[in-house]
Amino acid sequence: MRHLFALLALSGMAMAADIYPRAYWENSVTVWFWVAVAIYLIVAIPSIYFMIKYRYKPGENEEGAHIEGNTAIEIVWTVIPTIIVLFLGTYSFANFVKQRKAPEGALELKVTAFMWGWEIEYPNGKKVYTFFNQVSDPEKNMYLMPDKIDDGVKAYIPAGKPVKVYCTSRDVIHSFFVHEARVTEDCVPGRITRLWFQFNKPGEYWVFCREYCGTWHSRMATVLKVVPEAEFNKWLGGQQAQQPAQTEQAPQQVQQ
Amino acid sequence: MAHEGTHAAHHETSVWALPVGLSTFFLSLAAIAHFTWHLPFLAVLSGGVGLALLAIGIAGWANEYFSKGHDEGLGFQGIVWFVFAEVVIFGTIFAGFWMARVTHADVWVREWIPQGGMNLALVALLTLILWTSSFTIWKAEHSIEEGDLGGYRMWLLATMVLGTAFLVLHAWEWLHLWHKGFTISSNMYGTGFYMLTGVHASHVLVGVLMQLVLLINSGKALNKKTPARAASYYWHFVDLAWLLVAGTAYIVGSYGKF
Amino acid sequence: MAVAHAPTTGTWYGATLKEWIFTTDHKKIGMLYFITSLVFFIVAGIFGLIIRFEQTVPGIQLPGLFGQEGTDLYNYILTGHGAVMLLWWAVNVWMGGFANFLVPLMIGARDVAFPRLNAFSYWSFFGASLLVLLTLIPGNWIKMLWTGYAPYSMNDNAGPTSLYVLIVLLYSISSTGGSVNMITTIVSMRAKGIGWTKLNLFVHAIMAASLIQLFGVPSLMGSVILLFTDKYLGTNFYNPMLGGDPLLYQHLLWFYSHPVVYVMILPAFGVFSEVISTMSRKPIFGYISMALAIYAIAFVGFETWVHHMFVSGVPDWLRVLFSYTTLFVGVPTGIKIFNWVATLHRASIRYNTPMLYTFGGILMFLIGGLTGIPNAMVSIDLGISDSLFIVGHFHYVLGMALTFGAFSGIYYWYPKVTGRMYSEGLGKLSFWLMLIGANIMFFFQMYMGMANGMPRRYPDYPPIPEWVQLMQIQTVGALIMTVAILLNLINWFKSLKGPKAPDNPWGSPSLEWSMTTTPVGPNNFKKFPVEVPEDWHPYAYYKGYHAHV
Ligand code: HEA
Ligand code: HEA
Ligand code: CUA
Ligand SMILES: [Cu+2]
Repeated sequence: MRHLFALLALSGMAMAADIYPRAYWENSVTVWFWVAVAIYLIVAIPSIYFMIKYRYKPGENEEGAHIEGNTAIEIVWTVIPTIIVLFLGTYSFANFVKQRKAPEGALELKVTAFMWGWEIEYPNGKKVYTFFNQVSDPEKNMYLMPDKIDDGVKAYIPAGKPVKVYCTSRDVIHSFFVHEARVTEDCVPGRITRLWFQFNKPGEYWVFCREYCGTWHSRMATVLKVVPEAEFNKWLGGQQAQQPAQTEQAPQQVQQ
Repeated sequence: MAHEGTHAAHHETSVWALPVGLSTFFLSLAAIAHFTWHLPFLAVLSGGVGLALLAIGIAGWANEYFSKGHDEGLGFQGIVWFVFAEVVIFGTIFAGFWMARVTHADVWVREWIPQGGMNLALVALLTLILWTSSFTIWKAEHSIEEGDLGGYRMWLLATMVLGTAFLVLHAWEWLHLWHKGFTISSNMYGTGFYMLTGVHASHVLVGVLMQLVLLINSGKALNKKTPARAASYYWHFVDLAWLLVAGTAYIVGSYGKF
Repeated sequence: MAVAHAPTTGTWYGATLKEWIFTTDHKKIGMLYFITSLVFFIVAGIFGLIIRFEQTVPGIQLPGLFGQEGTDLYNYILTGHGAVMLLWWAVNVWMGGFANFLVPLMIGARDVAFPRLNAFSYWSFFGASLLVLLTLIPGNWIKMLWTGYAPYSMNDNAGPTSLYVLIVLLYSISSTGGSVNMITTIVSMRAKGIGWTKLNLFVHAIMAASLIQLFGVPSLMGSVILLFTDKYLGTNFYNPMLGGDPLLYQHLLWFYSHPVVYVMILPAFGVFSEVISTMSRKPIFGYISMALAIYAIAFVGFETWVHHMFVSGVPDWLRVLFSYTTLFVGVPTGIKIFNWVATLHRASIRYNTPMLYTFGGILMFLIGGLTGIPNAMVSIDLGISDSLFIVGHFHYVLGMALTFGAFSGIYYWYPKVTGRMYSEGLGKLSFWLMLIGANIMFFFQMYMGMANGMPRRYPDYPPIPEWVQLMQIQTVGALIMTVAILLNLINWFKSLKGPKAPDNPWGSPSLEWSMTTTPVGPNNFKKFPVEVPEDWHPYAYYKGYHAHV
């Protein structure tokens, strides 16, 4: 039951206005959810009503009525869904544009996926590697929670700043799924794909590989450690002088 | 089929579908044994069994078809539908070829075309051979429709000779290019070239084998005319496909900058 | 082959072993297909239970065997579950089993157009089944999942590529033969007087599905043939270094593998239509639009494949375009749903097991279809692609709508095929258990994908308490489902000795009921060639046909 309420809550409001592009994603989900519930009820209520009302009662309704169709009503239930479908497609299109277009001034990361781990390269050349066995406890053969994972394998991310990821792969197809931001893009050998996200609140967030890639697909994860910008710059180290302009910036507001 | 003419309850049977069906399993097993398990003995054994089942099955099937029952006339329609499927198979290779041709237009023209380009005179000759064979099979079809068994056999044979000549010339051309260093793994042009022409050639081979089956059974062909029509139609398809294949593999492949 | 004065003695199945093995009769071949499908369904279902076992708690439970990790075993099991459920159960229970048995009976034909080709199709399918069994041998586990994406499927980590390719090829050969056969049969072998507007909707569904198979399967064949040549003969189709493109594989795969979902669901729709009309004693509402909607779905189905590649790196405009085309499938599908509901209006509904499974199937399809919509909305798909939401979506349509449809059909035609009545009480019990179990299982699967963003194909996941709890609820549902399916199997077996059924227990004007004995005789009809009166229609219930049960 708790989960049902959570589902309603999820579809009732944007829970995570602090996370992008999740906020746009939630807009679309909300609209879809209520449309779907409405359509379900519009179909289910009459059918259950008919199921009960027109059940076979000996002597009363031995045979069904001889009705073969009704053109007018059939046109109605062709045209109305067409309109709904156009609306849903266009609403999703509008949000999609925002989900795909990173705001100006984003931090750019180059991600290279491999079997099974990630190489994340910062603009100053600093690289973070996460291998599948670094997110798990070898003895229990089980995932670690982020707080138990070595900070050295986490990718630091400045809070309140858009981050643009360019992804490719060294071997097979993987997918860079920024879990809390609800955005993913496959990393394909021979191609560079892109996505963007932004976390306004510091914290630790999972990244999972979401395209099947073999034995350790399910452990091909890493953690984004979102920290205030100053701390991020400290972590990024010596070369912060290369990007002085960004040090002073306040958290950027993304257009809703 | 079995029990033809009896008046007791009929359970229609035919022995021949089973061996042909299972031959696909044995041939697959042979391929797996060769490529994955590296068991040459199993590969040869299973391949042999598969081919034997296939040959016996098809021979028996054709014989049964020509000897029993009457011509339902549906075979032609069956082949028409089947050709739709074939078109899509060719389509997949074309898709790969054209995608690469468009996205890699630069390197393609600069590096991938073999020295001296393609031998277009030979292509013209190959085309001429195939088109002539389209004519000869059309003659064969007409002969049988007019009940001229001798003509039917002669034109069938002529078609088979032309088809075989096409294959031999084509193989010679492949060897020649391969020796020049233009192989199936060189780049997407090599890949696309050999796959398109190779898959097409395999269809020519199937067509010739169809004609062989018809020729062997030609003695009983007079009241079973549909197979001749069907084989002829299939052959026209193979000839028509050649236009696109040759146009793509030779001309689109080796000319122009896009 | 066609015998004008067919005797009516005997049953279709009362033949010697030799006659079974060499049979070219559509009913026996249909039954061979059906049994193969059912056996593989049970195997794949047990695989599904192993998946549940692994996911119920975080960490890796499956043992590492034969030098492979536990996750490798999981990946193999998941590959088997997906591929077998889709190709052996969802496609072939219809295209092999139901279609073969029923289509000639429904159109008044003595057999399909090419009986020997039909037998050939079955035996190559049988060969494919043997190849599937070979994967059980350690070292031959295929771990590339049913989609077999290149370039992973060429990687040695993925298992024997050649085996995967040949399984798919034999399946394709069999399917191509089968669809050529079905199309020719429906086009050319209808009995005199049965025009296109007098075909059962089930026959229309098989016609559309066969067309999809005919145009789609070769694309699948192409995708795996190129995989084969890339791996073993050195071609470059999927090799980006020398001009190839891994996405070509996905385009070719989905060009078939999207439309194929309609091969799976349209025949289920066909069964829903037959059962609803029969059990309501009322012609189907809007017959013409129902038939047109079937072909519209099949046609639009070929224009939507990129929706499986929304996050694969294809250009943004392509995603938006295919988002719209995909959403449009909802319109003809909606027409079907609304027409079914309208058929119930002023009906006389008999509640028996086939009818319950049909109602359940329709209402669950509605959930499955409506949860297909967010996947098609490209904005939402960015967040849920390759998550358990997708898995939940397709289990609603496959594990429920389709499977309920197949079960409904099995109960509905059970008397005609076996000559006996099934047990109604057991059937109804199994329905309610199945409905409850499946909803518990698949609702929470779907929920986890949307609310928790749980990725799919994960044997292991972080031990977040809420995730663990959601996984455990699903397992409970799966166990209830298992009991339900077992009850069905028991019912079908035990009822082989059940009470004898009359020739037309449901009082249906459709040919397979009204013109044959029960069980069907070896030569199909009481009188052949079949003749139907001018005003005959398969749904003409008002013409004085009466139900016996
Ligand atoms: C029988 C099987 C079946 C069926 C019928 C469907 C039907 C649909 N599917 Fe589904 N799908 C699968 C089986 C099926 N699917 C499988 C197996 C996968 C995963 C493959 C894999 O990756 O392994 C998948 C994945 C899948 C994806 C890819 C997701 C991803 O990987 O990111 C998408 C995206 O668009 C999608 C969409 C749809 C849509 C829009 C329909 C539509 O046809 C649904 C239409 C129905 C309705 C909409 C309800 C009824 C309509 C009305 C009541 C009218 C009013 C409605 C409106 C106005 C909206 N499906
Ligand atoms: C028709 C299609 C179909 C059907 C019916 C099912 C049915 C089931 N599926 Fe499956 N499923 C797929 C098609 C289907 N599935 C596909 C395509 C995938 C994706 C694969 C991929 O990612 O590539 C998938 C993936 C999938 C997953 C996701 C795994 C992951 O992403 O990591 C899970 C997880 O729980 C699951 C579970 C189940 C369960 C519990 C059932 C249950 O409904 C099963 C019920 C049946 C039984 C339990 C058998 C009952 C019978 C007996 C027990 C009798 C025993 C008797 C004797 C031995 C005499 N399936
Ligand atoms: Cu990398 Cu999955
Ligand atoms: Cu799809």
